[in-house]
Amino acid sequence: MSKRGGRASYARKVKKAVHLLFFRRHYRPGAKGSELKKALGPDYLRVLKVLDQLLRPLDLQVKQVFEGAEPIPVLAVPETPEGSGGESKSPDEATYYVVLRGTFEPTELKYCGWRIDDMAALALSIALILARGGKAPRKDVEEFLSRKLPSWRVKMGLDRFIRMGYLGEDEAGVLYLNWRTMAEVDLRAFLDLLLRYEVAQSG
Amino acid sequence: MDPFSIPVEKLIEVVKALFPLWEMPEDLSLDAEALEAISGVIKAQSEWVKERSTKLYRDPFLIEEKLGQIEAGELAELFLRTWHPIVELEQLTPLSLEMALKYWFELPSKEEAVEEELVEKPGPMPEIGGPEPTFEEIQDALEALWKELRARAKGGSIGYWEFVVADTYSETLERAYLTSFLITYGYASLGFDPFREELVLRPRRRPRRRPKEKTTSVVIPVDYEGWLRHVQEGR
Repeated sequence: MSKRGGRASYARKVKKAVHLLFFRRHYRPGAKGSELKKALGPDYLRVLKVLDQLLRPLDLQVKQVFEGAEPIPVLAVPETPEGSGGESKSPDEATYYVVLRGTFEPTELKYCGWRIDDMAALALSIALILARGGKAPRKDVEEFLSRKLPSWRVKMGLDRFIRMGYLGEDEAGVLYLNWRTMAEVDLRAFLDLLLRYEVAQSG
Repeated sequence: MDPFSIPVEKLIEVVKALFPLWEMPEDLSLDAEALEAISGVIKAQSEWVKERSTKLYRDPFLIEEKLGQIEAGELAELFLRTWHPIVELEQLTPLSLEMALKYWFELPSKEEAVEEELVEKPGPMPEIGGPEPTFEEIQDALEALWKELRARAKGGSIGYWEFVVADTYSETLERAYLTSFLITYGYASLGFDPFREELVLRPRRRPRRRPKEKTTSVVIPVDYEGWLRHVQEGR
């Protein structure tokens, strides 16, 4: 294939990747590696890397997320050749999302339908669940949130976080961190900021 | 309980020292139970080490203490610095179009609807239209209603129907629905005034949470005829 033909083929694949990643087709957003492979071919990781470069000026980024694991920028994902095997998971099993590369300013929150109180409630729920080793009874989380927010907002807020996929609730009423928190939140950085915040205040 | 506070090695030594003395099967069975319990402690120790070796482990007491001290706005700002939301767009899909088409075909025709109306004679229903209210809009509506209730009750109570009934049936339904939330979450109480012989609403200055308090569910039908009657009585 000529250089121009190859470039045109990549341009087509990048467009297709945009359609698959931006437009929601299932219950969850993003696309599975296996779906991308089927639509874009075995070199889909390279296509995603090209897309990532194109999205950089728009403050967006493509990320790879394995179930229950921290997200990895697609640029940092090695392009393993087909059938190489090994102990690491196949990139086809991961889900790929387009996320905001940077972060929002508090004043920008209202543009995406969040109130500062709701954001605080989400942050508090996530931190509390992390402090309890990844699981916390809903009752405890509600009690903690009720110290700062009206009780109807607490209940409605938690239900909303569950609906959106930030939190999950099992049959015993125990809350845990769900797929959206894993995909969107840099949990390590969040906990570090929280710890450092107090040090800075007391220091 | 800290699993490392249990002296596992000493316990095993004791079990080992006593083992030759046992002859009866009951004694040996008890010995086996003791060993099983010790293995449970070792398992708990293993989980403890595993949890603390993860990258996300931080002192839970420290985190909870900080969460208790930090202001909501400050916590939200900290969180925002680590939040990278997913970009997603919703649109019509072939599946949703198919479902809509199925729904459309299952809808009764206008003639069928008229026939049903003649048989059942239902009261006129409020028109439902416009976009679904957002979470924030519901919250704001609840807060506004609570404020209105406090103002109209003037430190005492107000008749339920006097408060809920509005100019239109749909608005009355909306007010009744939101009022039920105010009662459920303790922002107002619903009682019966024996002198006025009617249901009354008493707003509270602050929401009251009494988990042990015996609660009762009250069903208040808000039908169209009832609404008309209350509107006429009000005039």
